[in-house]
Amino acid sequence: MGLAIVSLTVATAIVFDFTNGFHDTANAMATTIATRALPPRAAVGLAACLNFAGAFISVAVAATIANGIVDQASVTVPIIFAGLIGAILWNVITWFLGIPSSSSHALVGGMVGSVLAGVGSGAVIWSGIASKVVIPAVLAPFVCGLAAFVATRLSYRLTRPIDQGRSGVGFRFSQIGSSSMVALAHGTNDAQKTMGVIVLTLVAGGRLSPTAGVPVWVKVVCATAIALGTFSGGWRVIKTLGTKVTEVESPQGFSAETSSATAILSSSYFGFSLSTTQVVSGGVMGAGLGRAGGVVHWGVVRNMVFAWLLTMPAAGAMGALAEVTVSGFSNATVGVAVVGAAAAAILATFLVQARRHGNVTADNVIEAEPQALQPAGVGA
Amino acid sequence: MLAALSDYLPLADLAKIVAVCLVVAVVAPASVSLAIAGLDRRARTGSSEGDRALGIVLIVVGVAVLLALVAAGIYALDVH
Repeated sequence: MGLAIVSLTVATAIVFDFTNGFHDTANAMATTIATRALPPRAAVGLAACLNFAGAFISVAVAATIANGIVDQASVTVPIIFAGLIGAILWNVITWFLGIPSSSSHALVGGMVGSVLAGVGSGAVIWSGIASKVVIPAVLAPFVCGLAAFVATRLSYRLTRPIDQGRSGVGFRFSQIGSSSMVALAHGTNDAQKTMGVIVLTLVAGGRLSPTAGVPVWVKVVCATAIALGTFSGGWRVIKTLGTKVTEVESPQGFSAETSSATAILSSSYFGFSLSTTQVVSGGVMGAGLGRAGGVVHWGVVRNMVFAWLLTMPAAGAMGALAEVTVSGFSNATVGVAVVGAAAAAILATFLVQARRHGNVTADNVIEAEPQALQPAGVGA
Repeated sequence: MLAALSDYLPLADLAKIVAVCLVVAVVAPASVSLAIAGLDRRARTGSSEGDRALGIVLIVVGVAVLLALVAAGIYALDVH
């Protein structure tokens, strides 16, 4: 396979890694920013550093992506490219809408869609998708939500006799630690997924032996891309998770992030790779329900769950469309370049539209929007 | 024929994950609350030397438990 097409696909993987960073900044820092435990810029800066560091801790998830989802031997470089296009487009669409959806599921969905279109269902490892993606995706928000609910109840109960201002300072300080753990775990889990895709590309392009590990330059590039994406701040998603799902107070933020970090790390220990987005979203909901008289905006939750259900099929459909388009060209490199240019134009359109309509920045990310929050348990 | 859930997900491991999450959901807020109670005791006007000493003990215990949780988390990442 030519160097040009391999390089274009690696570059596209790096773009995906960047979108993964800015889309998922909210996972670690939304509640920390919402409770003013840290200023927005400092929070995303800390998350970026920890994402960078986390990317070097382990490569187990990279191996899962490279081997466990699709048959490595059947995959070609244009198919990987098309899968990445599907994932990037879905990430940008959900970012534009401010919906915390899973970048990992977008990546898996995009890859599966392009493989289905390019090779057929025989090249998809369905049991791997069921055990590594679908079942954990269903269970994760409930497990984390339950833990966050318990932690929030206890946090308020145990500090009831203490001056609220003083306990608030204590919980805000603790929140920095718990959200840092989430950022570190996110770097470890998510940067590796792009490492896996780049390794898959290099193997499919004949540039790397299938038995070789992850090259150091791949680790450095992926760590840098996800850190830069994180630092750029996905303010729209941060606003949704930090202010629109529920009104987060510092004990709730601490409980949500601690439960999320625990769910992610304990499941990693047992060999499951969870979507940090779904875990943290479940944690925020649980924390919202855990405070007496707490408020949860169920309309926002409903949109989020709808987006979660749609993520894999939608990213898959876009990946399949990209693969069909690329394979329509007699020269694959030309096809990849044309589809890449079209995707870049779509991304630019979304960025321009985001600036024109309700631009969310570090300066206005925690400004409350006029909306009717409803008591927990009452549907919207 | 449909496969059972246990064919795709070891239920024993899932139970352990839920148990760990619930234990931390109790231990972490309790340790932060201990530290906050310690700070409160130290800062209260008119508190005796004994109160202040107890405050320091509460802070140390609370922070130590939190640091142990962080260390366990990093260990889990490293092992993974």
